Amino acid sequence: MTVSRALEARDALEPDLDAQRDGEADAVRATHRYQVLFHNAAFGVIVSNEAGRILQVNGRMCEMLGHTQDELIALPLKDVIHPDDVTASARVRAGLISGPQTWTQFEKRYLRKDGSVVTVMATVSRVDDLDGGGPVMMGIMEDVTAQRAAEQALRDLNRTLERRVADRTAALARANKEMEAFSYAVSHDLRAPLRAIHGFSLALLNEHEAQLDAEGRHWLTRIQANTLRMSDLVDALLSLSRLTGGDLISVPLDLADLARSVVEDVRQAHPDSVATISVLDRLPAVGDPRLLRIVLVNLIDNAVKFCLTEEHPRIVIGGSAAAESVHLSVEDNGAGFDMAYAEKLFAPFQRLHENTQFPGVGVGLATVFRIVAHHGGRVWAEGSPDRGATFHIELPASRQEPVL
Amino acid sequence: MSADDVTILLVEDNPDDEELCVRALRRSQIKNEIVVAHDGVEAVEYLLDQNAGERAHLVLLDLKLPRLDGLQVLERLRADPRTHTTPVVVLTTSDEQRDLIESYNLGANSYIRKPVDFTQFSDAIRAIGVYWLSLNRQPPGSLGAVASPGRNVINTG
Repeated sequence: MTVSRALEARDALEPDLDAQRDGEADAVRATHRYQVLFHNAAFGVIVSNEAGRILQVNGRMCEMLGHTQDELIALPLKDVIHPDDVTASARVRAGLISGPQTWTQFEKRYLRKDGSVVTVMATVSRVDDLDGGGPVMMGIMEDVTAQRAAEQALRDLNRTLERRVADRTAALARANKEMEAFSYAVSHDLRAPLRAIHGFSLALLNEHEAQLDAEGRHWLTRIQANTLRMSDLVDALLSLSRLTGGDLISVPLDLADLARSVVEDVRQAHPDSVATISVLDRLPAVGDPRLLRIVLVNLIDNAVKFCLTEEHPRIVIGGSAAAESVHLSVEDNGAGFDMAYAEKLFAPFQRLHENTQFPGVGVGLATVFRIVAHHGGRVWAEGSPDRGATFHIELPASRQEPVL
Repeated sequence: MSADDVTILLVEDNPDDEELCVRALRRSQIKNEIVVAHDGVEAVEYLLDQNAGERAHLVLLDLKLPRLDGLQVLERLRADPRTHTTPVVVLTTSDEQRDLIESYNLGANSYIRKPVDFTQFSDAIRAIGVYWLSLNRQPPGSLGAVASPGRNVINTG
């Protein structure tokens, strides 16, 4: 029941005393009205004197502190205020008593009877000359415990989150540093023995040729070729590991333009290719031009390479741009592959063809996969043996945070 | 001072690389004296030694070395007036960007990545010899100087 309804109800119960009602009755009625309002207020109200004695508390205040009215009136104010806030609270009261300010607002904590803490927003005013005595303090208290707890929880959560982000960032930085150290070690320590094997086997071949028969020379040649191949593998592994080490640049670009420029380079690298290569007119996308160029070089170079043995090699670079993503495909009619091995295609050092037939190290598509994944996109391939292959990449249409 | 008077200081800790490098130098008909330092401290001590310091030098410097590494060696050489202009060719396995940049920042004259292929390695050594022992001119007074293009010590044939 609301306060006004309660009053109406009381009014309705009271008989109309007409003109006989005297001033005293009016006063009683006003006092009663005031008391009903005071006790039913939705805010806690606490009245105390200059000495810090509680004179009056309302129902809400009792509820907030878990005490009865009688208990509270018997207690000194400082016994219900949180020990850490007693001094500040006394200072505020002293300030109000000495004036000139007559009211103020501040946050303070009370102790409930059960020992728990209630945080309130206190609006305290000085009331002079009440009952002819000294000034009294009237505090109107809004319980903000739940609000403050929620705020604190949010702050804690933010702090936890920040700490977690910092931890992850540090872990990532550490992993990157370790990776860097690893690459450095690989670059130095794996190449040096290879250089020795190559150098000394060549010395054997050059300076002791007379003591070697044809088979001996052949084996030495094989050692040499494998050393160089191993060296290529080490280099490829290194460049793959370094590929996405830097920051991803994200700029608008035309994949079709990029493809045309790559086609020219690839043609120069394969002067013996007679492939017809068509490139779509325009394909706007967003990404890192240097890295996407590497993607196109790998895809187009592969297409040309795997078409070399075809009589009428044909490569079609197509695609489409939609609101969410940009799709590019490189289709050839070359050697193709068995779909059963499709998932092996993008793993490093996986090769589906004999090295002698289609030479390569086996990191090209792994490189493509890595760069496209770094852009937040995806790659896939379709093909069948001797009937060509189509490689697809799909990039998000707009700027994305790099995917680590 | 002629090119023949230039001592080549090879700073190399790996005995295989040392042997290959000396072999490549000799195969390129480079007959200069070759001194080998096996770590950075040896290299600095040798070059900043009174007597060695009076000779002209070409330093072939590996980067990954025990005790003082190649970059630290380079830093010490550049800080000393006696070796301030001594030609230093970094000859390393590393192709790390930061090594390349740091070497030049510290005053390397050249940076060569040692190829695994010994034929290419020999070619690189021959080119280094032709350039630094024959073509290049150093400022006068520099202890690393080749005062004039020397006698033809390089048989490029």
